[in-house]
Amino acid sequence: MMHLSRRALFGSAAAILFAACGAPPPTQAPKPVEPAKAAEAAKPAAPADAAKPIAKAAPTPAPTPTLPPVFTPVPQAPGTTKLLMRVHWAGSSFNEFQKIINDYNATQGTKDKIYINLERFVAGQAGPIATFIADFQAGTQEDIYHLGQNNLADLAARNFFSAPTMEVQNYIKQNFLDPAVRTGTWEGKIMGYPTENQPHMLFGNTKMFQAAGLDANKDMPKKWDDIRRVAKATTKVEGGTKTQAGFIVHYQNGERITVQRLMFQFVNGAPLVDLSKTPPVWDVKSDGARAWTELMANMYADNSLSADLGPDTITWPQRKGNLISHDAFAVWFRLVTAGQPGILEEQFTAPLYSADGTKTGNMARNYHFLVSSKSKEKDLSWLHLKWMNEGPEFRMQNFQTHVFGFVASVKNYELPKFFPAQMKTAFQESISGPNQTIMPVAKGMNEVFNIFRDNHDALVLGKVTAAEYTAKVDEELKRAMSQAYG
Amino acid sequence: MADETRTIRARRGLLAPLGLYGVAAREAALGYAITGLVYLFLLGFVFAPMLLAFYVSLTRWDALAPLSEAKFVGLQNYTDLATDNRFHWSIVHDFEWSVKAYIGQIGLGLLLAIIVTNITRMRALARFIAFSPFILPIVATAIIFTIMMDPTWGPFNQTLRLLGLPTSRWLLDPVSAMNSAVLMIIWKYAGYYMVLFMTALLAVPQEYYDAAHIDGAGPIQTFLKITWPLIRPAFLFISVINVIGNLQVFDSVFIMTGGGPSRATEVVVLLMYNTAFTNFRYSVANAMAVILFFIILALTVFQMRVLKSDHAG
Repeated sequence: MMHLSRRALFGSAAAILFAACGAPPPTQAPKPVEPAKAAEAAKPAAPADAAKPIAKAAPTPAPTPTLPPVFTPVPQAPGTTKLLMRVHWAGSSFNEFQKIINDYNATQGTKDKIYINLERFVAGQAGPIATFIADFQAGTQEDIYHLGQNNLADLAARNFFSAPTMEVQNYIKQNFLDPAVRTGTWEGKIMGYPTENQPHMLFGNTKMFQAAGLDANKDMPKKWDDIRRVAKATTKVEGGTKTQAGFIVHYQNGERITVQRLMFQFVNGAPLVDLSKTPPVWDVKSDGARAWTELMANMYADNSLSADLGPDTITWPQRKGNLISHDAFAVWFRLVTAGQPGILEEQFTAPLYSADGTKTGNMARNYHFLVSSKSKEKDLSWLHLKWMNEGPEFRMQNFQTHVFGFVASVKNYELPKFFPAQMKTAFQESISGPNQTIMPVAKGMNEVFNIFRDNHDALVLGKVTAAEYTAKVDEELKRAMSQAYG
Repeated sequence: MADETRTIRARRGLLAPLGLYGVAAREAALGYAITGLVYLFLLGFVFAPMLLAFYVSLTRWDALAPLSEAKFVGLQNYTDLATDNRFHWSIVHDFEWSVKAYIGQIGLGLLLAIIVTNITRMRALARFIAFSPFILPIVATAIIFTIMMDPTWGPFNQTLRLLGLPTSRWLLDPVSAMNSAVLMIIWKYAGYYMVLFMTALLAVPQEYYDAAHIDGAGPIQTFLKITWPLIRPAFLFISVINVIGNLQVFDSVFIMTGGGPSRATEVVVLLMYNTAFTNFRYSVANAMAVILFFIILALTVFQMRVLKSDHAG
């Protein structure tokens, strides 16, 4: 009988494991790409191609997947001042942005005597804040922030940022959409460059409409009663189990829920928040607000909601739901990159309407480039941001629109190329209309999101009634504002 | 004469007054130096932050202004928490989590340890299988369980459907979310507790069992009269670390439920994290930390008293 020693056994196992894992990774870092080539390579793959259905039973072998080139930072040129910029993007998005930074560092940066050191931070809901606080206290904060407006008021009120010169502020005012500028304004000062825009639209799946004997072109709901009717008609229950929800709710996502309510209340003439008062007054008790709450409760009673099928990040791209109201970014992130083939083309896009279907409008919600009040190189930071954000190139806008698929914050800028024609028209009409609001620039927004998330989840799972929801949210919002402004 | 004495003492070294001379003194000095470093580390990174946290809990501070600008408010944060329903519920959830995890992890760990120590074949394999979940990172485990618990296409419900059993909404339902998350933590740590119990069980002399067998004791009697008294010191240690760990739960809940749905799994540390970093109420979060510290301390003392007195008796 053959005797196998432990050493031989472990040795063999290690060899097998090593062979299974393939060759070791190259130890040499990839060479930096020359800026000119980097700019050429920066052209994103046509998203429409990515969304094409996969051919059935293709006889040809699948092509070997190739990784995009990794853009390591170009070396710092002598005599330049290093500025730290942190962003929350990861993976290929960070890589694409590094290309732009490389382009700057290798060309304009040498003239400006600036070298941008790009890093990323982990962004959860409170993630950036925890990081920002720690870095700000330690003096290791970035010179340039890329920050959503949700945290702007809390941080600006604590002197986190340094406003640009009036010249820059005037440029921003003249060249960027007014609502997108307002989301970055604190105490009358424009604090930074808006980098994109997030208008909110209603999406419906044309195939699900058809399957229910409806036509999205004619039956896309305007009145809230119609939302309920279409949601009910397009809900599918098979063998006692719901397999398709007529209305996709933003389950367990406080920010999305707040944006949705803000939009529907706004178009319904019942603003969710009054920012003219200190602390701001949040209103979920008005008739217009209650109508939205009751619609949710009624759709739960109809069994039309998607909460029991999971979060919208799954239900929408996986075709487990029909109607959804969502921000513009979701077209790229939910439908193109995370969805099933063909899902983008199945969408019918419409604006949000008031309960009686007569009024509509839209909103701005976006990120900004801001400069730290603790930065030792504020002027240089703004100099770099000028190159990044101003025309005629509008480099940041180009990146945001054509890499991420964001709607622009720059006036008269094109929509993402991959948007289908109907979607483009709907977006264009909606954001160019007169009735526009903004995501509130108020303190305590993250707590507001938590309050809406927790209570909305209870509402759409039928754990509370519409009246109980209203009373609890009202009480908790008052308390949150008192704490944030107290 | 006095000078001579001083010279002799100096030759003997600093530790001479403690009765340590020569090699013993050098070894002792090395020992004090090493342990001193550890105590310095503990002082700087454990005790000082604890005292600072207690001080901050008596102030109003948002962590962004310098600490010197913190406003002293006395026990205000504590009195606020005394009337804060959300905080009360988070303590209830913490206890619910801890009790369920305690029973599951320790109960299953002990059961597995008894089984594994009593099997004669493939004991190492059984031990490896039971212990392997502990090796996985908690974040990865939590994400995997979240995926497996998806009500529509997750393998848990798929299996239940195949068996014709009723399905669950697992993490998506306020009623089942806590149990679902606890299920993951039991699965992950039962093997770890098994190893700890096995160490204690294997230390029980076989002669005691042989004697009990000759005397006609059954398995339950043997366990209660021989095994239990002898593994009780180990059980005390296991029990204490389990309670401390479970009352401080954060990562698994943060990843699997984020405290939801509808706050059904919002535990103290999660609320503390959100209070500090989403609401900028850093002082209140510190007050929560102090309260949790005293709860854990009280439970630890209680366990030590109960289990030690049992042992003595």
